Amino acid sequence: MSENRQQFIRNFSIIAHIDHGKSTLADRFLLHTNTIEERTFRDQVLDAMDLEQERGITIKSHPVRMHFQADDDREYIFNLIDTPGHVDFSYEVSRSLAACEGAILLVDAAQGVQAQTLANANLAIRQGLTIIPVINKIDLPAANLDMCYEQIEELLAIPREEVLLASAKTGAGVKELLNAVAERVPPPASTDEGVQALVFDSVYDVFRGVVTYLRVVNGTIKPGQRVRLFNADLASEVKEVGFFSPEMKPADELQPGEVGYLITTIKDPTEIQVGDTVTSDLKPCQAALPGFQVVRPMVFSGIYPIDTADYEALKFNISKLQLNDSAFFAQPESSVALGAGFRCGFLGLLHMEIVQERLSREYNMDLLLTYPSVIYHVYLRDGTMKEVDNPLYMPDPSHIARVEEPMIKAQIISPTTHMGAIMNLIMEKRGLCLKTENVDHLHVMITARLPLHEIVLDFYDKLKTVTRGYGSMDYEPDGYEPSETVKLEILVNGEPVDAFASIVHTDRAVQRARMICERLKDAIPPQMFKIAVQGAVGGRIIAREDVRQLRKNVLAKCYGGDITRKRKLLDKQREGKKRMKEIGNVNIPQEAFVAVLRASDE
Amino acid sequence: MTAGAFQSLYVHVPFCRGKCSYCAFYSLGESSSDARRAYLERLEQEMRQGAKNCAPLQSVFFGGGTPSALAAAELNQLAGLVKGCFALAPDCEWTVEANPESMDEEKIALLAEHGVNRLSFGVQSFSPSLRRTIGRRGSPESVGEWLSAARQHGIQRCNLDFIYAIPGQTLSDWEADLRQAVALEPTHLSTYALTIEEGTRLAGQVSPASDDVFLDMWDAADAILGAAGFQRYEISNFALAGEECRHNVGVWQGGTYLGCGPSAVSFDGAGRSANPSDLTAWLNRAPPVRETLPAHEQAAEILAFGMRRTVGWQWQDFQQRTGCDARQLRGDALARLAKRGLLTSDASGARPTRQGMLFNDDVIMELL
Ligand SMILES: Nc1nc2c(ncn2[C@@H]2O[C@H](COP(=O)(O)OP(=O)(O)OP(=O)(O)O)[C@@H](O)[C@H]2O)c(=O)[nH]1
Ligand code: SF4
Ligand SMILES: [Mg+2]
Repeated sequence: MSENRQQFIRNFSIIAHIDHGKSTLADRFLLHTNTIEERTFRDQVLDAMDLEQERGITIKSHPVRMHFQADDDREYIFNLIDTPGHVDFSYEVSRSLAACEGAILLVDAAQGVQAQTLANANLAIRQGLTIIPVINKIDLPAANLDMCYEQIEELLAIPREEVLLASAKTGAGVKELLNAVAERVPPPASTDEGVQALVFDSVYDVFRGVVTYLRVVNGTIKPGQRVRLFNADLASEVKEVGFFSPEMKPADELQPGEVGYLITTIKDPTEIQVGDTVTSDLKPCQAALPGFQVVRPMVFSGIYPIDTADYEALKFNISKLQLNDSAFFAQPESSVALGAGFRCGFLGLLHMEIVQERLSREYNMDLLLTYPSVIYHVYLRDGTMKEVDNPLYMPDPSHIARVEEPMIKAQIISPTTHMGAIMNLIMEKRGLCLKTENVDHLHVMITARLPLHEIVLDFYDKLKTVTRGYGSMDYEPDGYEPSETVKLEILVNGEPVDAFASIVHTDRAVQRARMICERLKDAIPPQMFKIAVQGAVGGRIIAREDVRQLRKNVLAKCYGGDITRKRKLLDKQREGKKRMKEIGNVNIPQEAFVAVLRASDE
Repeated sequence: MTAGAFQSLYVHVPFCRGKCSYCAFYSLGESSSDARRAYLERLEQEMRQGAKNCAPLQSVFFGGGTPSALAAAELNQLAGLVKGCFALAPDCEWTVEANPESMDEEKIALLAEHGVNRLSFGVQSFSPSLRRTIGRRGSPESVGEWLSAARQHGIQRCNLDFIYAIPGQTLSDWEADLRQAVALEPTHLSTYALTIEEGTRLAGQVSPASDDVFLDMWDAADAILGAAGFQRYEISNFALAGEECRHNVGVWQGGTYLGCGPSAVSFDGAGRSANPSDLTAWLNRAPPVRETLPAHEQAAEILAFGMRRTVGWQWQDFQQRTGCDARQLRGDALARLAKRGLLTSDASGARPTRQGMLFNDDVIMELL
C-alpha cells in the first residue's frame, strides 16, 4: 500500500462498562457507512453468537472494516473492534486494544462512570491509545450529563471539552463521532522491519479450518506466500487473506496497518497461540512483536457429561472452544462418581457459565459442573508449597502447615446511599475495606480486598442486590493471605463421593455440608437399609441426614393382567437404575448430582 | 416357550353397583340390562372361539367387576355358557367373586347347581368409617349368612377379601377385622394392602399409611390367621392347608389361561393378549393387544413372578413349566438375591425370605 493509503487507516475499539451501548453504537457505524444494508440488519449485528444475541451481551471481540467518507472529503478505512464489557472478558479487550491506535470510551448517560469504564479506560491508557470519550444514551429521560462530566473529570482526568455526546439508539452525534475518529486517532505507523503481524484472536471454522485474526504492523501478507509463526517456529503457506465486512471477505493482500484475517495450511487448532507474530518465512523479522501477558484462569471446576457416552464429543468440542477462547483451560480428569471429564479453568463465574452454555448448547450435551475452586497455596509440614485447585488433590490435614488463599482488590462504584450495605457485605464476605473516595456528590468508589473465592461464589450478585443494581465492580488479583481453608467431604453410607467434595472456608463448612446433606437426602430414593449422608472435615462429621428408609417394596395385587403392567414398570425403573452411580452400595441417581451441583449455596 | 392349550378360564364381568374410590379395575358402576345382554351375547361368541384352544379346564374364575351384580337370570345364563362351551376337568375349581350386598340365596343355589365350588366375597373392611374412607358402599353384614348358605348348597370353599393399611386404620381396627373374618370360618383369606392407584378417586385425596403401620399389620395377619390355621402362601393370600386358590397359583406359576370379557388377559405360554378395557370397544370386536417375549425372557418372567409365592420355585417344577434351568437362566441374579437376604436357595429350589416377600419388587426386578 502506498504511504498515502496507510494515512487514511484508523484502527480503534469501542470500550465501556457492560451494557453502555458499544454494540449498538457499532450498529450505527455500520449503517452510517453502508457497510451493512438496512435489509440484513438486526440489533447488535456483530454479536454473532446465538448466546450473545439471547443474553444481549458481547462475549467475544468482533472486528469489522468500514469505509468512511469524512467531512474533510476524504475516504477513510476504519477497522473497528467491538469489545465485551464484562469483567471476565477484559482479556478480550486488552487483546483488541493491541490491534488499535485509538479507543472510543462510552459512558452511559444515566449510569455514569462504572467500574469497568475505569478498568477498560486504564487498559487503553496503559497501551498508549488515543481515547475519545463519549457520553452515550443522551436520549434517555434519566440522562444526567452534569454527573457524567463530573465523573469523567474526576475519575478519568478528561476535561469536559473533549467529551462528545451521542445516542446509539437515535443516531444523534454519530456522524460527529465518526469524524472525530478520523481526526483524533492517529494512522498506524510502520517501519521496514520485514513482515510483522500480530495474532490477536483465532477461531475454528468448520469449513475453512483455523482462521487467525491479524493486525499487520509491517510488510504485506498475500496468498501463496510462505509465512512463519515466530514463537511457534512453524512455517506454512497462506491460503487466503481478507477483511471482516463483517463476514469474512477475501482480499488480494493485507497491508501495513490493516486488520484482517489469515487462513494458512495449518490445520491443528492447538498450533496457533494468540499473541504470536506472523512473519515471512523467507525473510523472517528479527524479533517478535510484544505478545500478550498469558492469562491465568482464576476459577476452576470439573466439567462432566451427564451421559458418559458424550465424553469424546465433549473432548473435541472443548478443544475447538479453546482455540476461540485462549483463557479457557481444560485438562482431562476423572471422577469415581461422574466418570471421565475435564478440569477446567476460567477467568470468572460468567466465563464459566458461558463456556458451559456454549458447550451444552452448540453441541447439545447435558453437563455437570463441580463446585468452583480457586488456586490455594498449601504449605506442607515438610516446607514445600503445593498449588491446589481441586479438592481431590488437597493433602491430608495432618500434612498441612497452613493454607493461603488468593485475594483480589476490588473497585466498587455505587451511589453513596448504599455504602453501609456494601460495607456490611464486604465484611460478611471476609473482606477488608481499604479506601473510600467520592466520585461526585452522589457516588462513592470503594476499594476493598476480598478473598477471590467469595467473588467467585456470589459476591457480585449480592452487590447487585444491596445496591439495587446500581453498584458495579472491577477487580484484579492481589496476592495471597493465610486462610482457615478446609476440604469438605460428603459421605454416602460412609464412602466419600468425590464429585461433592469442595474446598471451603471453615466458617462456611457447616452451612454448606448441611445444605448438601439435605438435598442429597431428598434426591436419593428411599433405601432398604438405613443410609446416612454426612459432611466431614478432616474425618470429623459436621452434618448428617438419613436417607428415607424403605420397609417394603411390594405390589399388593398381581394377577393375570397385572403382570405385564408390572414388568413394564420395573423395566423402566431398571433403565433408570442403569444411569445411577453406585457409591457405598447406594444407587445415586443423576438427579441427585444435578440437585447438589446445580444448587446455589442457599 | 411355545403356545399350548389353555388350562384355565377367566371371565371378566365388568359391572358393579357403584364404583369404589380405590378401584382401578375395569368396571362400570352402573349398567342397563341391554348392556348386560349385549355383554353376554358377545361373551358367548368369544368363549366359543376360545374354547377351540382349550384343554379340559382345570379352573374357572369369574372376576370383575362384580359377577354377583348380574341379575340371577343373567348369572344363570353366564354359568350356563361356560358349561355349554367348555369341557371341565372332573376336579375343576370354579370360583365366582361376589359382593355381600348383591349376593342372595337364589344366586348361590343356581351357581352351586352349575358346579361352582368356590366363592370369593369382597368384604374389604367391617368398619363403616374405614369403608367410607375407601368409598366402599353397602354393608358386609350379610356375608356370614351367605357363607352358611353356600355350605348348605355344597360350596365348602369360600374366600373373603380384605383391605388393610387404610389411612386412619389402627392396628386394633385391623385385628378386629381379622378376628371377625376368622370367626366366619372361610377356607381362604386375601389381605391386600391399600394401593392408591393413579386415576382413581382416592389418588391425591389421601396418602398411604406409613411403612411401619403396614409392617405391623402384615405381622398381625400372620399371627391371627396363623393361629387359626391359615398360612400365607402368597404375598396377599392365606389359606387353610390344601385350600389355596388353584386358579391363581396357576397364574403365578406361568400356567395358561383364556381370558374372556373386556380387559381380560389371556396367556398361552408364549405371550399375553389383552382385551380392550372398554365395553363398547370390546363389543365392537376391537382386537386384543398381543405381546410376546423372547422365550428366555418369558421364562425369566415366570421365574420372577413365581417368587410371590411363599414356596417360591422348585427347580424341577420350573424346568417342567418352562423347559429352562433356572440356575442357568438367572444364576447370577439368584446368587445376588441370596446375598441380599431376599431369597434362600438350595439344591431343590429357591424361596423368598420374609424380607424377600416385603421387597418382592426388588426380587422381581433382579430376576426379570
Ligand atoms: N436509550 C438508549 N438505549 C441504548 C443506547 N445505546 C444502547 N442502548 C441499549 O442498551 C442496551 C445495551 O446495549 P449494547 O449495545 O448491547 O451494550 P454493550 O455495551 O455492547 O454491552 P456488552 O457488550 O454486554 O458489554 C441495549 O438494550 C441497547 O438497546 C442509546 O443510545 N440509547
Ligand atoms: S366392587 Fe370391586 S370391581 Fe367393583 S368398583 Fe368396587 S373394587 Fe372395583
Ligand atoms: Mg456488546
